[in-house]
Amino acid sequence: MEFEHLKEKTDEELVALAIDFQAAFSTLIDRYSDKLTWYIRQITNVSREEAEDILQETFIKAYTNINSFDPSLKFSSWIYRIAHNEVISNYRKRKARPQDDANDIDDKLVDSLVAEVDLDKEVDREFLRKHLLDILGGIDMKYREVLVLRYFQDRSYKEISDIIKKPEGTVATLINRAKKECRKQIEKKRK
Amino acid sequence: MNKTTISQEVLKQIQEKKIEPKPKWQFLARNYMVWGAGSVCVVVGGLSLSVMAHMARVSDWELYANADGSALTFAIENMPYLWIVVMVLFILLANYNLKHTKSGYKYRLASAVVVVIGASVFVGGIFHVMNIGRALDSLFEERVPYYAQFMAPRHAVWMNPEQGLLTGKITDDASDDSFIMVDIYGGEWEVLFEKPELRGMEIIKAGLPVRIIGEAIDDYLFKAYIIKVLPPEQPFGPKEKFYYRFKKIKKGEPVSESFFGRPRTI
Repeated sequence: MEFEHLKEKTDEELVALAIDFQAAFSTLIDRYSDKLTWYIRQITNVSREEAEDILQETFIKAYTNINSFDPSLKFSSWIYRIAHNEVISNYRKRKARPQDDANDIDDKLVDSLVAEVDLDKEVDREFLRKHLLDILGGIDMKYREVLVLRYFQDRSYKEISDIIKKPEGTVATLINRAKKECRKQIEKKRK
Repeated sequence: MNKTTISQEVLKQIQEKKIEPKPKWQFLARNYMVWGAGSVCVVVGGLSLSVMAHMARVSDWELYANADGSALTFAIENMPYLWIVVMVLFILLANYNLKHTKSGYKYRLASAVVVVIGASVFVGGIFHVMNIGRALDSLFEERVPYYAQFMAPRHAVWMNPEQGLLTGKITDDASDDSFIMVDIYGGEWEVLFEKPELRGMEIIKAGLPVRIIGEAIDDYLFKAYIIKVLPPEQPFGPKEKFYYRFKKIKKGEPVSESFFGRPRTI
């Protein structure tokens, strides 16, 4: 099967092929490695190298458990779930907080978070952009990851529910609490 | 490390460590086990409920209400603590299993508990209609060590002659105004009656297990106002003391005066 032809296939089609055809799995890795690296670094403080180690473990786990993939679930939710579990496992060992690389943050993402956290847009947008990672680092991991998934990874409530394996109602509650925590951190930072 | 390197590195590790996907049957087996365990828990919860329903039905609360006994005492003594604990434990286990199914995480805890309780109630209702609760209670009284002793308070509440409550087995066919019975602790009684209300029987016969509402005249004499016969398969007291004494009396053998410290008067 030609490699270029694989790029046109959907995630679910590639999963079906990946069991017998590693090039299909390689295409999936290429599709998700950037997003997952970014996700991993947004919710932990690991270096790029460590993020890539976690990423590799994520993909190895995905390959090992590929026969457990449920087609009723989106593949992206499934692979994010595996990354989430690897991050939790790594986080428990390290208990770390995010830092650096504010330049990686897209302005649109900052705007969406500013709007959701109900801040004054003009005054606080730049403040948030400058201190975003510190602000995120000051809030609990369980709030940080739902904020990252919702506003930086643009996941729906259902997708977040599938990723962190909690009911959608609980996801909504976590996001509300996360926004409140974010506001508290911003006020704290201002002082 | 760029994208191509990451995928190359992952594939290299897969080949070097000879990593293979786990077979599908392992995941199917796990799912079946989780569902199977959850179903067993729901069934056990249902069995507990059916036994509790049976115990409530045969508690004879409406008969007890005719005596001077305390309603609170009756409720406390008849509470099926063991079965409540079993039911709660297995409902929690069923909930745990439900949460660990593929889609279990989508349900809030309250919803999951309601579903599990609802399933147990449904299953318990079916068991109750089939009299499985009664059969289980009888079987446990006969065969399970310590069950009879643990459940003894529900019988003991009927052994309070000072409050007009007596329970045991009739040893001889009645005369015109009295009969002899052995209570559940092996004590012997002459029961007098004068147009008593009979429930569940027309003639007072030997061998019938009974609950009696009346008044104690002295230590071995009781006047009955209401006599209710119990179903033959229903457990009604700790067996060892009762059957020992009952069989001895039936055989006409002398029973030691010091037996339970209560000498025979008849």
